[in-house]
Amino acid sequence: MKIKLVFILFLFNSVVTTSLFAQQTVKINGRVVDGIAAKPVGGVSVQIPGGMVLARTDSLGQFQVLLSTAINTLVFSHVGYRPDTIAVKQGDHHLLIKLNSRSTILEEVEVLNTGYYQIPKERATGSFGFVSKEDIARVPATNILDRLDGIVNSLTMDRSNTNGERAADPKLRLRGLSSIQSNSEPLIILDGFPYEQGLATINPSDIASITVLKDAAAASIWGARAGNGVIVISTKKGTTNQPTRIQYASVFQLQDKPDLYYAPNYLPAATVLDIEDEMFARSNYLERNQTPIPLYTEWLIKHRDKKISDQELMNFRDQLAATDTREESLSYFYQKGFNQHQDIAFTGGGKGYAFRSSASYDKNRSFLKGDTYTRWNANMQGTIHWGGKFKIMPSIWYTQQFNVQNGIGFTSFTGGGNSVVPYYRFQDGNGQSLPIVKGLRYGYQESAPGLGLLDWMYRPLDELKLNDNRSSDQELRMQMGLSYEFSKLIRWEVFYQYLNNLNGQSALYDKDSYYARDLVNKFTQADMTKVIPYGAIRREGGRTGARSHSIRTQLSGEWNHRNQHQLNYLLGAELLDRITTTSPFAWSYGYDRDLLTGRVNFDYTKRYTTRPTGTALIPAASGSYGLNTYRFLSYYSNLAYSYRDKYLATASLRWDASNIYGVKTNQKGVPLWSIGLGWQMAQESFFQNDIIPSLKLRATYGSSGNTNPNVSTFPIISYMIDDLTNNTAAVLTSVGNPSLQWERVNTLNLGIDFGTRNNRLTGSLEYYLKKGNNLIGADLMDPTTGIIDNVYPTIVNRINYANLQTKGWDITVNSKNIVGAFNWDTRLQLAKVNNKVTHYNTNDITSATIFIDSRPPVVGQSLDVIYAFPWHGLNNEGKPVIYQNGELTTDYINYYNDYPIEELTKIGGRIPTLTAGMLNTFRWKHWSVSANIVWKSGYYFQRTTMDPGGETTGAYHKDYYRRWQKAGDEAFTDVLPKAPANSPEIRAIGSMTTNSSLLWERGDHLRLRDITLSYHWINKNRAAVVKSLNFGWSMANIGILWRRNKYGLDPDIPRAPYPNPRITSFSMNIEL
Amino acid sequence: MKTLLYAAVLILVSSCSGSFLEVKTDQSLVIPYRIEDYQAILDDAFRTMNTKASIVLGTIAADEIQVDEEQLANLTPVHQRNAYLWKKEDLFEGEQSDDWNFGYRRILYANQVIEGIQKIKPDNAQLDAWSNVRGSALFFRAFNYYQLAQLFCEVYDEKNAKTQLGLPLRTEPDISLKIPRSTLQQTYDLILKDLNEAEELLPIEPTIKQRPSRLAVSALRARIYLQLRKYDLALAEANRALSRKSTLLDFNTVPFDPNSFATLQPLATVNPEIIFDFSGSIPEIQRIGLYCVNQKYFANYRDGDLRKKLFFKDFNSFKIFIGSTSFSGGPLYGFAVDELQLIAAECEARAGNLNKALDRINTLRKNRFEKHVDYELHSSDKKVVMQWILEERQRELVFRGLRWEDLRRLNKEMEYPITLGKTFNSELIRIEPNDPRYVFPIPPNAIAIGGYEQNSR
Repeated sequence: MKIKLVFILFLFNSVVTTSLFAQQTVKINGRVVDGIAAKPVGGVSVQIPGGMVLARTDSLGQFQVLLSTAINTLVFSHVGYRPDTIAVKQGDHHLLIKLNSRSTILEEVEVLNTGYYQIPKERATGSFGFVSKEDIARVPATNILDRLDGIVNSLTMDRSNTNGERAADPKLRLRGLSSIQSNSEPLIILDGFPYEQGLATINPSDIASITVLKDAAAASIWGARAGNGVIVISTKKGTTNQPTRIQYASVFQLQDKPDLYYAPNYLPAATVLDIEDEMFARSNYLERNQTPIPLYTEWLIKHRDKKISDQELMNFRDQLAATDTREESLSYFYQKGFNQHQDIAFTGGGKGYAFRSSASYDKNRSFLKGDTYTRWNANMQGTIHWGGKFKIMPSIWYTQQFNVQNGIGFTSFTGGGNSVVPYYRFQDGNGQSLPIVKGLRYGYQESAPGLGLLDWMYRPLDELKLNDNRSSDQELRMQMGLSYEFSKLIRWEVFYQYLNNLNGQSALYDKDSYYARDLVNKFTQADMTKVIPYGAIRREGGRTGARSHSIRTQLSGEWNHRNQHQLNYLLGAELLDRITTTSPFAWSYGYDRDLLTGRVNFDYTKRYTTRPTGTALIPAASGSYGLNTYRFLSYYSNLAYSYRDKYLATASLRWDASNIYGVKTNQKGVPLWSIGLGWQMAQESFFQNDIIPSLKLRATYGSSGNTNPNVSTFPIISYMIDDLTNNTAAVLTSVGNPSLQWERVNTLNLGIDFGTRNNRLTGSLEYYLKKGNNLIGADLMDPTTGIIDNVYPTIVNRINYANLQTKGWDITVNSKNIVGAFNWDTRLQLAKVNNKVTHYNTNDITSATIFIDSRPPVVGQSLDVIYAFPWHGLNNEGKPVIYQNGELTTDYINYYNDYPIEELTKIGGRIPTLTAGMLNTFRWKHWSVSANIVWKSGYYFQRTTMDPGGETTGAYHKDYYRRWQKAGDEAFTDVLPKAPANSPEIRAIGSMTTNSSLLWERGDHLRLRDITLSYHWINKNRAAVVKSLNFGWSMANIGILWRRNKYGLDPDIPRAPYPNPRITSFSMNIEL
Repeated sequence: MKTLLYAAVLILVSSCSGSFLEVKTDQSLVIPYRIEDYQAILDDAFRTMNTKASIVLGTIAADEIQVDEEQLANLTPVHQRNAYLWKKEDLFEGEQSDDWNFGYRRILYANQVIEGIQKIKPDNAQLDAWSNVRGSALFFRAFNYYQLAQLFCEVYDEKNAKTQLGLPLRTEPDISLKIPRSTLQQTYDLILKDLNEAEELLPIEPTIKQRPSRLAVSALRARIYLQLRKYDLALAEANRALSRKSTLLDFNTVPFDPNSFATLQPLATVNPEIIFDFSGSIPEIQRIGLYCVNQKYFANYRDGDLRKKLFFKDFNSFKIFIGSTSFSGGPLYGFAVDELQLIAAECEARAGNLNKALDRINTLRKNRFEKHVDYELHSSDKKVVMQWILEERQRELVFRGLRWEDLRRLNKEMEYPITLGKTFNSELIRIEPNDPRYVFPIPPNAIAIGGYEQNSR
C-alpha cells in the first residue's frame, strides 16, 4: 500500500515536471556495455523513471536521447541485465553505462538461439525451451543427451528399446509424435549446422546453451527435417577484452553393479533342476550334436548311458543346486563402474580478438568387466575483428573415441534354452575355469579331443582375456565464419563447415578363443585336414565414414524508426553435401599378433563339409561397398517486427529441396512457412500493475515437413552379386508408388508467459495442436501382390496412409518459495500430450491376431493404443474363461482364430500422456542442494509371464510358482498351468493369453531421477588467482519411488535385464 | 552495392542447383530402365528366382519324407506339421505359406520385367538381349503359376475346368489391382500362352543354367501336358527336347566319398543332364536340414543300383537324401534329361509303343547301375511296363518335387491309384485317392485382404 502511494506520487511528480519544462531539452548520447565483458549491449531501453521509453541502444550499444532539462535520471534496462538508474546532467555527451549481467546474480539470460539468429525471449513469439549452463552442469554425464533427460519440458527419451546389457541410445521425442514410420526424432543443430553423428563426440563442458524449438515458427526456420522439433546446441565462445581465464573441471563417477535379481525371467537352480529331471523323463531333449542341451541334462544322459554312477550324478546335482548364476556372474563378470572426466579450457580476448580453447579426456570403465570407453576431445575457436566491420570466426574440433566391448553379460548364459541357466559355475575350487553350454551339444564338444579335434569347450571366464573387440571413432569438425557489417541495415555473413567422421571396428580372436577353436573344428574335414588353420583370427572393418560440406550465406539487419518500429530481417541460402560410406569386413586367418601376418588365400566359393553337420563356406568379406549421398539446398527468410515492444509479429518462409525426396525435380521442393504474433500485455497502460508486472500472449501457426528416405515413386532395384551365379543381379526393393506425397506437419501454438512481482512466480502455459497430414506408412498387403514383409528381400509398399493429430499442453512454473539468506526454488514442468488418428487408408485386416500384431492405426483412436483379447480369469480346469458371441465357450482354437476385431479390449496407449518434473533447489550461502523428481502416467506396458510350455524350451519366469495347479487355484492366480503336451489348443491358449489384457500393466510411476549437492565459492577479490571454486556431489538413476504395477517392474524399460545402475558423481571446478 | 551482393549470393547458390540435386542418394539403388536392369532382376537367382520353389507343402504331404514321430508334436512351423498329418481344418493356424509368398514374389518380379521391357524399343543390336529378357520373364511367370496350381487348385479336369477354381492371375505389376480367382481353364490358358510366346523369344540353350531356354520351355510343357494327361502332346514336347539334349550322366563315373553329404552336388556345373537349375529349401520340419527318406521308399532300390549309395546315407536312425544335383545344394526342382526320358517312356507305353518305352527306360538305367549288373527290362505286357516305368519314376525322381504331382494325376485317372497311409500316435491316417485334402487351402493372410474364395477341404 505504501509502495503504491509513493509510486503514484512519483508518477504525478514526473508528469508535472515534464509538462512545465517541456520546452527546454538537451541532447544526451552514450554507450551501454556489459559490466564484465565490456562488450556493447544492444536493445537496452532508455527511459525516464516510470515513464516512456525514449530510445533503445543499437548493436554497438549506442543511444541518443533528447531530454528535458528537468529530468536528471535515466533508467537503462535490458532483459539480460539488472536495470541501472543513472544520474545525468546537462552536457553529458558520452555517457558510458556499465550494466551488470543478471546471470552472475540471478539467472542466466534467456537469449534464445535458433541456430540462425539470437533473440531475447521477450521478443519471441514461438515456443522455445531453454537449457541454461547450470542445468547442463547440474548432473555430470559423459553424453550431453543424458543431461537433458528430465530437464526440457515435453522432451522425452524413450529407452524402451533397451533389452540388452549395453544400453542403447534413447529415442528422442518432442511433444509426442508427428510421424508414424518416418523419422520421428528432433533435428539436432550444433553450432549452426545439422549434426547427425549422435552427440557422444561433444564434451558437455563446452556447451554454452541449448535451445529447443518446439513449434512451427521455430521449426520452419530449419525446414523439411524439422517437423519433429529442433534442438539447437551452441558451444562456449570467448569474448573480447577479457583477461585470460582458465577453467579446470574434474569428475569422478562410481556406478553400482547391476541388479541381476531384477529380471523376472529367471528361476533358481533347485527348481530348474527339477524341471530338467522331468523334461528328461519326458524325452523332451533332442540328442543331436548340433543342438545344445542343458548342462545338467547332459549328466542325466551320461547317467542313463551308465557312464557315471548314481552317486556321481547326485554329487553333481547337489553342487548345481547350491549355485546361483547371478551371484557367480556378479563376482566374475561385473564390477563397480568407474568413470573419470577431466577438462581444461582457456578463454580470453584482447582488443579485436577473442578465443576459447579446451581439451578433455574421458575414461569410463563399465560395470561389465572388459568394457571401456575412452574419449579425447580438443578444440580451438576464435573471433578476429578486422577493422570495425569485418569479423572472422574460425574454429576446429577434434574428437577421438575408443570403445572396447569384451564384456560377457549374464544374459548370454542361456545355453540350450531361452532363459539364463541358473546353475552355472565359472570357476572351480582350484581356480580352473569351468565350461558351460554354448552353440553345440556339450556332450559332443566334450568328445572333440577324442575325435582328434581341438578342445571345443566354451569357458566364459577364459574368454574375457582371449577376445578383443574394439571400435574407434574419429571426428574432425572445422568451421569458418565471415561477417561484414555494411551498416545496421545490412550485415553479410558466410558460414562454412567441414565434417569428417571415420568409424572402424576390429576383432581379434586369440587362437585359444572359442570363436577360433569352434571355426577350426567346424571346418576340420573327415581326413582331419584343417581347412582353417589353427591360429588367431582377425576381423577388420565394417568401416563407416561420413563427410559433409555445408555452406550458408545470409544477409541480415535491423531497422528502427523513432524507437517505435523495430524490424529485423534475415535472408539466406544454404547448401549441404553429405556422403556416407560403408566398407565390408575382412577376415584374416592364422593371424600372428607379433608379426602381423595372416592368411586370406582360401577357396571361398567351395562348400566344405562342416562338423557336426551340414556344409558351409569359409567366412569372408561380402566385397560390396556402400556409398550414400545426401544433398540439401535451402532458401530461407525470417522477418520480425515489433511496435513499441508491445506488439510483435514474426514470419518465416523456407524452401527446401533434396536429392532424397524422390526423382522428379518438381517433387523435390518443399515450401515451409510460419507466422507468429505476440502481445506484451503487461506493457499496456491499462494493465500495468504490481502483481503481474509481466504478461505476454503469443501465437504461431505454420507448416513444416518430415523426410522419409525410404520412399520412392518409381520401382527401385538394388544391385549386388548373386551368390549362386556370381553374376551381377538386382533385387527389387520397392515397386514404387506414383501417387506418393510428402509428409506435412501443421502446428498451432498458443502461449502465455507471466511473471509476478520480483519474479517470485514465473512461467508459461502453452497449448499446441499438430496436424500431420499424408503420413507415410507401410500398407498392409495381400501376399498375392508379391509385397510380403517376411520374405527376403523385404519389399514394403509405402503409401500416404494416415493423418495424425497431436495436441497437448506444456506448463512450466518457476517459483521462488523462500527468498533471503536461505533460498528455496521450485521448477514444475507438466506436459500433457494426446494423439489421434484422424484419417487412415489401407487394406482392412479381418483377423484379430494379425490386428494385434501389426497394430494398424484406428481412426478416432490414439496411434499408440493397444488392443488385446479380453481376460476373464481362469476356469476350474486352469484354462482361460472365454466368451464368443456372448456365450461361454471352450473352443479356444476357433476363438483365437476367429475373434471379431470389434470385440477386442482397448487397453490404452503405450506412451506416457502425462509427464511432470519437479526440481527443487535449496541454497544457503555457498551451498546448494537439488532433487529432480519425474512423474509419468497415462500409459501401459506389457509384462511377461510363464508360458504353459516354457519348460520345454527353457523359457523360465518366476510366475512358475504362481501357476494354476488344481481346481480352486483360479481364485488367486491368473498364470496358466503347465501344458501336458504341445497341442493346437495349448498353442491357441498360450498365444491368446500373451495377447490378452492380463499382461498389460499401467505404467504410472514416480521416479527420483537425481539428487545433487554443491558448494560454490566466488572470490570477491577479482584480482586474486582463484576466481571461483565449485565442488559437487550427485547421484543419478536412483530409482522409482512409487509405481502402479505390483511386479516391481520399471515401466520405462520393460524388456531390459536390469535398470541402469545407480551412479554417484564427485566433481570439482576451478576457475583461474 | 547492395543489389550486387544480393545477386552474387543468389546466383552462387542457384547456379549449381540443377545437377546438385540429381545425385543418387544410394549409389547401388537404381530405377530400372535399361535392358540390362531387367535382365539383372531376373538374374536374382539365389535370393528369388531360382530357389525356394513353391513345392514345400506338396513334398510334406506326399509320401517321400519321414518325420520322427516322437518329435512331431513339437515341430514348427505348425502348418508344415499339419500338412504332414493331412489335417482337415485350419491347416495354417494363422501362419503364412512360403509357397504362396515366394511364388507370387517371383510373379511380381516377372510382371515388373514384362511391363518394363515393353517400354523399351530395342535396336537390332539389342534385339537378342531384349527377347531373352521378355521370354525369360514369361517363362518364370508360367512356371510359378504352374507350381502354385499344383498346390492350391484341383487337378485339371477337362470337362469342368471352366468352373474349377484357378489362381488369382496377376499379369501386371500394379499392386493396387484387386484380382479374384480365375477358373482353372484360364490359369492353364495363361500358362500355355506365356510359354508359346516365350518359346519364340528364348535361345535354344541358355548361357547359364539359371536362365530359361527353349529346352526349358519344352521340358515344362512336357511336365504340364503330363499333368493334364494329354500324353501325345507331352510325348511330342519331351521328344523335341530330347532331340536337342539327351546326354545322361553315367553314375559309374561319379566319385564316391562315404563321408560326403553331397555326392552329386559338386558335379552340378558339369552335369550334362541339367536343363534348368531351380531348387528349393528343405522344409523346417525336417529338423536336420536334409530330407529323411521314407524307409519304404528306400526299399525300392535294389543292390547294384548306384542311386542307392549316391542318393542316400545313414544318419542317426534315418536315411537321408544326399543326391541333389542343383547349383545351390538344395533339392533340384528344375528340369533335367532324366525326367524327359521318363515322360517320354511313360507316354510311349501309354500309346502302346512298349519297345520305344523300354528303350528310354533302359538307356536311363544303363547310366544308373553298376557295370556288372543286368539292368535291362524287357516285357510285352503293357501293364507290367507301365508299372516298371512308374516305379522307375519314383526311384529316379525322388525329391524332385514331382511325387505330389504324380499322386494327384494318377489318382485322378484311377488307373494306377495310390492310397497314402501314415501313423501318428498309433493311429493310422489313410488318405484315399482324390481326397479333397489333395488341394491346400489358400493362406489365411491372403484371404484376409484379397477376399479370395477358399478351397473346400
